[in-house]
Amino acid sequence: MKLIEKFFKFLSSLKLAVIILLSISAVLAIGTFVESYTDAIYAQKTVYQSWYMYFPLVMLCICLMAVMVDRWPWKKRHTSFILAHIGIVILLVGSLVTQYKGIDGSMALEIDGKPESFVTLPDREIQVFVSTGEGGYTKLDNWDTDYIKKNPQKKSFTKKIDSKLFEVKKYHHFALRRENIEPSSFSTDGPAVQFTLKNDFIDLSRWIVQPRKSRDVVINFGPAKLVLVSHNNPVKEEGNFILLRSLGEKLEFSSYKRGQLTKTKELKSGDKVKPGWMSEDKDVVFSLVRYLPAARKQVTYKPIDQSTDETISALEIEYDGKPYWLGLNSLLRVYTDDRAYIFNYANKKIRLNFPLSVNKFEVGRYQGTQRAASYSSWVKIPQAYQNYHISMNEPLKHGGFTFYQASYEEDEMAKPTRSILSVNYDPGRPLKYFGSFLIVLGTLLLFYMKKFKKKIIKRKEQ
Amino acid sequence: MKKIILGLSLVLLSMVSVASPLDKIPVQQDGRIKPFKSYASESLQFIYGRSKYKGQSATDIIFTWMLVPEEWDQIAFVRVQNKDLRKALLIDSSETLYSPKDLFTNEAFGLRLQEIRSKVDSKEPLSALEKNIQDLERKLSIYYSLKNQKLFAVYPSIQNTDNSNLAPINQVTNKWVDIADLSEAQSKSFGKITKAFAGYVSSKDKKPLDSAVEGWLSELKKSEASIPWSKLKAELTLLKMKPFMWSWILYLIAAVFCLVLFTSGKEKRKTKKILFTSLSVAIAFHIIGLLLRVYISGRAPVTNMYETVIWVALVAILFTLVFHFIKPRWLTLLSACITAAFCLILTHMSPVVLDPTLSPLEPVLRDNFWLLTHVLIIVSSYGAFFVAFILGDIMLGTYLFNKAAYSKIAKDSAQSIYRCIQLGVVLLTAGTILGGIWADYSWGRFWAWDPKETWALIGILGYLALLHARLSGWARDFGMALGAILAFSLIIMAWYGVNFVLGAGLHSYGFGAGGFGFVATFVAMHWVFVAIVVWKKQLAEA
Repeated sequence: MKLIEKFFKFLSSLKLAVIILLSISAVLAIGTFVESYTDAIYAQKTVYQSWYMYFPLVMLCICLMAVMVDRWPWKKRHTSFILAHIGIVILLVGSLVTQYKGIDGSMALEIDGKPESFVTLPDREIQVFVSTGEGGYTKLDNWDTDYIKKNPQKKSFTKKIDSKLFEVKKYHHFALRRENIEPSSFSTDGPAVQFTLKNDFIDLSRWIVQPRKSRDVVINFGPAKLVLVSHNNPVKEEGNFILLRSLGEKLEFSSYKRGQLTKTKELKSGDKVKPGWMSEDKDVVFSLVRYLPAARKQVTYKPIDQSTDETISALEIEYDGKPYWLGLNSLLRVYTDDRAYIFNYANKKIRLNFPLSVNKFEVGRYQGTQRAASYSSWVKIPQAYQNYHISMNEPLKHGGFTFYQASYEEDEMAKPTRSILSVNYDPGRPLKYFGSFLIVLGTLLLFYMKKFKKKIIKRKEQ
Repeated sequence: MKKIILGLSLVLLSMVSVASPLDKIPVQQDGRIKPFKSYASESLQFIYGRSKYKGQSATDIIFTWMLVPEEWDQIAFVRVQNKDLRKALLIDSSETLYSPKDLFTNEAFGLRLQEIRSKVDSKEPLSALEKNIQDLERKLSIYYSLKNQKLFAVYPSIQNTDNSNLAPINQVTNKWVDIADLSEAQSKSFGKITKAFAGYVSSKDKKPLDSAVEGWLSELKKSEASIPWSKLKAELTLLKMKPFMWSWILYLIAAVFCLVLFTSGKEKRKTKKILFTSLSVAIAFHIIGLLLRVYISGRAPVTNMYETVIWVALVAILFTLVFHFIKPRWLTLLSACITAAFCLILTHMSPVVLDPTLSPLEPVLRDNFWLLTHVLIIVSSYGAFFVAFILGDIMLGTYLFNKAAYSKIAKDSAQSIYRCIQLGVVLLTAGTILGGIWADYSWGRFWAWDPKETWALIGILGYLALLHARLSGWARDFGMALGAILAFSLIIMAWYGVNFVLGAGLHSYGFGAGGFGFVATFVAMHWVFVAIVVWKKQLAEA
């Protein structure tokens, strides 16, 4: 009995409170530095939602309750202390409810686009699809993942797909996506041509790739076009254009001026041709850098330490003994002898039971600049037969969810293309508000509790 | 005493610049219409690192860039402060000023810039040095645009955009035209100013220039554009009056008299009178300055580092005065005077770190009463903690040098520290919670572990630990002084460190750079100071 009493005294002691407060501060401080070196998600997963954080918080709650029990029966002078302390406990419980029951996602809605109902969540999963034989794919499986908390290098992540082994080797939180065009051994893959176009007005170097042989590819440069085909049939193009015919190992170059053939030639790497669109001295020079009769776009990722606007998470995986890169929200096609698979490392999505569309979007800018000063969306919910206006600080509440104007995407002409809304469902909200209210009330009351403080100090000094 | 004050004010008067007639010309930059004086001194500050060049006002200097660009190309006035940057450009001297020509013919600079461009294209992160190189390029490009009369938007062009997706806030005056792109008639009118200015430079006769500028202004008044003339006037007044400078001088004087009153220990009516007069005038200047800024920008004065430092100074002095009238304690008032003067001197001395430029706000921050209120309350708490911190310094300093005096002041001062911290904790807690509620209302997130809010919470917890330590008897008078100093490091981190050191998170709209060495030294020196005092105390008690 004595021991329990002693333990209780220890739990309700002010000195323990000081130690707990300081240790929470220390963990939080570490978290902010982790965030500064990585990013918000990483810091949350490794620090704020880890046991380093939970342990002192649980201790704090125990300590707060113990103190309140210790002061029983409560007197009037305890009001501020009780209010503030109960407030903290309620606030923490509210946060817990939010974390486990709440939804915090986002929607990117095409402006003037079709109604959508999918909300993207921060959690990620790996989806596996398998070819059905008729050109389509069907979902085989999906696995929840959290590689920040469960590093695949420490705890291996392996699955079986059709008796072959799928393994996540490494997780890179920050990586840059790189696209390379490489020769392919599959006869179904289309050709690729690397070329340059040069004169006084234009200077560019790029690839034109035909992913499937059956579909012609056209690049439009404004005054002229470039067409890549894999057949010998005529093409329906007008104006000035260059036609590249991929015929096995041979690449045939033809140029047209106002629809009329000007030149035809078989090209080899390094060849330079003028299509004859302008006078000889001003004409564009087309030069062939590289021709691949069958090519495939290979996506790789370059891991880096810091986050930039373009960084994305990527996985190094192995399937059937072969290594691949799998980037977040980008599909990976993998072929075995008899089947094709698609792997998708993607953000999880949930479906709202009412679709939304944005039918108008407005950006206000600071005068003389492109800086946005404000922006807002006009949202339509067809089921509710109603239109709503969502602007910065003016969210829309519907069906238990709240929709906030978060940001927007725009094209090169600064014309907005997609409006991004954050979507939120928070059952912990009332608890958090009530807790906050009690804390503020309690601390304000502290000012009226001077006598009590003096008494305690006197007692301690004696 | 009178002689000293008189001498001091003479020195200061010479610092006040003589007005140039060009000052008044409205210029549009970054979404705001400002007087040419602001525009010129901000540009010169950025390129040259000072707002005056060899005693000449920025207005005149920038104007001569347009008149005699060939001369200026040869003059060393572009500041390359960073040592690593000079090393990267293969400049071996300790000189910090270089001419635009020197820099543009610097091969290493050109190569580095190309490298940076390719990095920017491939979206790779830039190192600190590379950011410095970019910064230098920006300086040069501003100089080049200015001397070519570009980037100097002086005339509103009337245009109505019909694109419904791009509705500018102010459709009529969305675009302003550079001097180089003025229409013929406008160009002729502006040319009069240029001509008159050339005459003014040689003959020092202001009159023709004055009338040329007036002519230009009346032409602008005729245009359809709405130009905020009264705000322009207010901005010029603010620039000319320098209210914050007068304010810190007077706070320093008040601090001296506080010290006199404290050490004499007697009720000297005359000294008191001087003290409170200088204090009231200081506060008046302080408030006028803030009100002018609020009027010009149309928002609460807590949207950047510079404004928060000024606000903290005012809060510190005001709430201490209230405490003082309830129970006079000269040392606390002295601490508040020192706090206010120190803050204002900081804003005066380091315009690069504490940038006084009024710039447009990010969309989330606009038109939101509660947002600014939560910032206002949080920043006010810094004022209370700052006074406690200075008082802690005074207590420990006294302990170190005069133990007898320490035992006399300890109890009262510790009580003051306790009061300040209590006030600070209430403000910081209320402000942080209000911030959470605002964030929840406009983003749907009560708490997002953003570093700014996390450090505010760390601050609350640190001070709460100190308050509980006092209740538990761990922190007595000495402990309170110690805690007030150490815990203020948390506030410095929340206030300055998050923006300038961590540099990450949702609050990134307040980010700047620089001053790290100064702040780090300031904090480190205080830790060393605390360590020495604790060590001495243990020696004395052993």
